[in-house]
Amino acid sequence: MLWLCAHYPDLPAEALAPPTDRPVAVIERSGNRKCLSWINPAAGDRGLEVGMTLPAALALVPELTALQRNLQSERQAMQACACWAYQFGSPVTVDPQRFAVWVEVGASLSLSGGWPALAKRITESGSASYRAQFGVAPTLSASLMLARAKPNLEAPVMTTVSIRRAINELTLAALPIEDSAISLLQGAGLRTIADVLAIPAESLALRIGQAPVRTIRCLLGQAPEAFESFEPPSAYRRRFHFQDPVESSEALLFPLKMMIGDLCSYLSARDGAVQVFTLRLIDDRKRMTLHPVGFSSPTRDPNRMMQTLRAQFERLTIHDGIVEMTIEADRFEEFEALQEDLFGTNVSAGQRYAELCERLMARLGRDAVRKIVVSPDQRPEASQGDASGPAVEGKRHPPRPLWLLPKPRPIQPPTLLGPPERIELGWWDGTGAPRDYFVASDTTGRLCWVYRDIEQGNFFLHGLWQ
Amino acid sequence: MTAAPKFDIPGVWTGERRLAAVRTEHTGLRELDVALRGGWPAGSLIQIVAPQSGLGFSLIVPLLAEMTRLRRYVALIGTPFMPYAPALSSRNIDLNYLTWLQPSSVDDALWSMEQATRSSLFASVAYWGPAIDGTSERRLQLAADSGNAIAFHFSDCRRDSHSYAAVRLLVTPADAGLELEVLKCRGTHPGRKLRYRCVDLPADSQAA
Repeated sequence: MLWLCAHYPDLPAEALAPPTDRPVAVIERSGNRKCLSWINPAAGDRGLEVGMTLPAALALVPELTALQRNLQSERQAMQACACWAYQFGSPVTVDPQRFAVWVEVGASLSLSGGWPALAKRITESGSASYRAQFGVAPTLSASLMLARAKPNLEAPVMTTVSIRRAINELTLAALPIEDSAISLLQGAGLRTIADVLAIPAESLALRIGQAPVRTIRCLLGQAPEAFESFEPPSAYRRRFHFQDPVESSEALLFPLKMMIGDLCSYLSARDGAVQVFTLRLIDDRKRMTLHPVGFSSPTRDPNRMMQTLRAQFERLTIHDGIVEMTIEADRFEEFEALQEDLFGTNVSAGQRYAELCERLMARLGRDAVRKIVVSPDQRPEASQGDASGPAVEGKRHPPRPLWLLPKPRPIQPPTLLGPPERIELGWWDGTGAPRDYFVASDTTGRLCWVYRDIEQGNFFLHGLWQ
Repeated sequence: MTAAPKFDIPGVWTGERRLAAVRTEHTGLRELDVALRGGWPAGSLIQIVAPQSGLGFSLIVPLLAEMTRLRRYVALIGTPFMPYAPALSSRNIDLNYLTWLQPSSVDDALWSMEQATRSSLFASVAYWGPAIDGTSERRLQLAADSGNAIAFHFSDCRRDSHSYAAVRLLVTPADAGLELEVLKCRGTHPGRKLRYRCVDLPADSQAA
């Protein structure tokens, strides 16, 4: 077993807003006071500390951005990180309180091509767009300890016997046991973990109790660890709050890119693809607008999704500032990997055509892109279908003009150039009257398709030949 | 008469050089092929000026039929009227490969024209719209070249000043047919006139 632990120390803030250089703190209620539970380095430089009350912090740093801690956003972010971790191995387990995600990579190490190749893949994959620290060790708690204290992807701890050597120099505070036990050991004069491990287990248990000793034994791999395997949820929901209302659609694209990246990791974890999802925007007057986003074929490619969304957002006008954006996806399809045919036929051209139609539809509107089909009806009308549907085969038809006017226009009697063709329209549903169609030439010499209404005798222009 | 001696001095243009052959597609009308030195030039923008909207569509129908027969896509953008499916189908256009776009603004139409021609998925794209300025014309010409598509622009404005289109035709109706005048074609002099009879009319009409 080799566990890769990804620790996200900044998650309380990153789940709520993108990282910035201004001082930011996350506040939490404790009792009836609001205290800082997380600060970023810019805030720390100005003298703030975790545990300060909010009024004291604001007195020191008036321009501090204080974000209310939102457990649901954190939970969703942790789920996204867990889905991201799925691409490296399995099983995956999550500890939301300690902001840690573990994935077992030992079993698939040879598949990944050895540890250096896997480490390169991890650093290149973008760690689900949150800042992560990594630690690798054969046990869960050891890898978390390394991720928090000595994050390093280059020097993984491969065997249980080397765990001791790796953690020897760390201070006592890094041990995952209760604070009371730690302060007791510190009071006894022990400084590093090496000192603690030098003491025999029974005497240690007498001083600090069985439970911390058992934790230490699990840490060293001498006792088994229990964990709960993470299952990706069956529906996907991801919400992003904006601190200041967003006025333009371009500013929405940056967090949207992050959310789409999360969605695609989730889809990879489920080995599925999505064809339609909903984007929900809530503005600062609490009005909600729903934007369904659809693709012509199921996909989990983030670039394709972003292209369609960008084209769709160009047509979007935002009236009031947007404060919250949610992606919801409930229906998932099978993912079809593109298979190269042995003869290299037009498979990929069909796929590219579908993607181009998607982009055109996103910008021009779904109704603007159509295929023309011949309706089985004999009436001089052609039915139209969407660009995604197939067209019906045309049979041999009597000669017909190239252009059809959507509504026949009355004209002065033109010069008729041939015998009439009688077309009876819709006698089966009682609409319309029989018409005599002629090829005619109008005053400018253009060839037209006109008809004379039998009952009233007027001429109407219905089509043009050229 | 003996042949003139050939001078092969570098840097001296001897006046016998012919234009590099451009790949062309047959237009379907032999005289038009001759007038355009082979047919519609590939990867170019062709402007067809017609005083009445919709006039001139029948000129490109043989090309669309041939392209769809070869299983390549074609597109019609911003048509003034509805393309009538039985007519297209009986002129051998395979409707499975035809896409019809109706954008709501000229900007959207030019954007989709550029996207379609540049994508190299479409063999031919035809656009009906007002006259466009030189920069947009140049962009369309470049897009057609990079996507190797034949782009048609039907407009009603005859602007005789410099245009970036490779070929320009003027079309007017003339007793049950069309009169074509070649306003511009690379490699020929302008001013050539042709007659084009409409095909596929009812057999016993006087126009056929």
